[in-house]
Amino acid sequence: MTFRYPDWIKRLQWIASVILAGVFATAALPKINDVAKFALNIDQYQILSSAGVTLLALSLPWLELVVGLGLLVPKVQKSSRRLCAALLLLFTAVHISTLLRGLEIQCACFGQENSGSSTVEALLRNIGLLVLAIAIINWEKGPNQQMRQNDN
Amino acid sequence: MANAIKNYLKELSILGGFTTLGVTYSVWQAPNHWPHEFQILAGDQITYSDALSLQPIWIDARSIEAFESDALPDALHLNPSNWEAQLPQLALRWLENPSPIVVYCQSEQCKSSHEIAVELREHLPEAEIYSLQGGWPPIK
Repeated sequence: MTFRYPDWIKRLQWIASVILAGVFATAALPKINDVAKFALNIDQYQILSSAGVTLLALSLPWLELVVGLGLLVPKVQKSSRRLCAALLLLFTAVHISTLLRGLEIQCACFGQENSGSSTVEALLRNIGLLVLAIAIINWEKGPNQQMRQNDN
Repeated sequence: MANAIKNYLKELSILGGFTTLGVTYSVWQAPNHWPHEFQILAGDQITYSDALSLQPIWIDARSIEAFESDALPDALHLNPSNWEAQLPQLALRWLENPSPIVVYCQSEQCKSSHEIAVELREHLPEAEIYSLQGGWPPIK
């Protein structure tokens, strides 16, 4: 017995992808424009050496932009969704580590130095986006595959 | 399964390619800051070359063994555990010659130079006090 994949799920998946793509692109562009400022922000987390901070400051914004736009391009959608979830998982882990170490850092996740969000706000936002990314990946399977998994 | 892996690898190589292009653009845009001159200074840090031009009072925050084996000429050894005894000596030197004070510790990762700089600012609020970026390695 075959089920037609409900249109509303496809629409929901598309809307969620557009939201995530928008968030990733909005976060990436200010960092690409000012790599040095972003490097200073990464350095506050006291996780990487200077060379590591430089490499990450140069590569992470572009990865965010490419993955974000990739969510809307069918040819690279599957990998983009997984990379997007992996990045969000990584950011969430960094925010948890920041809280555990008692550091007070303004996130500037979207490049705004003076209006950056607190670690708790950034953590909650990341968890929300991570749930969205996991939902998009889960919706890929479609009802047939999900039913087969349930039968097993 | 093999096809799925092949497809993922294909997608990842496309994403990786575009990311590399972007990184190349960023590096090309800021050639003066890459790779070795890209320096990140925290609020109270100073680079060794900038510190030299200030002719500062050097404070060595490494272990006493490291200080005795090799240190900058005229550097004062300051250890938080012996703060009370060593601080007057520094204060006297600064009053005689009120130049900037630069504190260095063992390595880039060490925190003692920053901690001592913070502490010194409380005792000598008029002084210009920095911690040295990179610690001892840029000096030797």
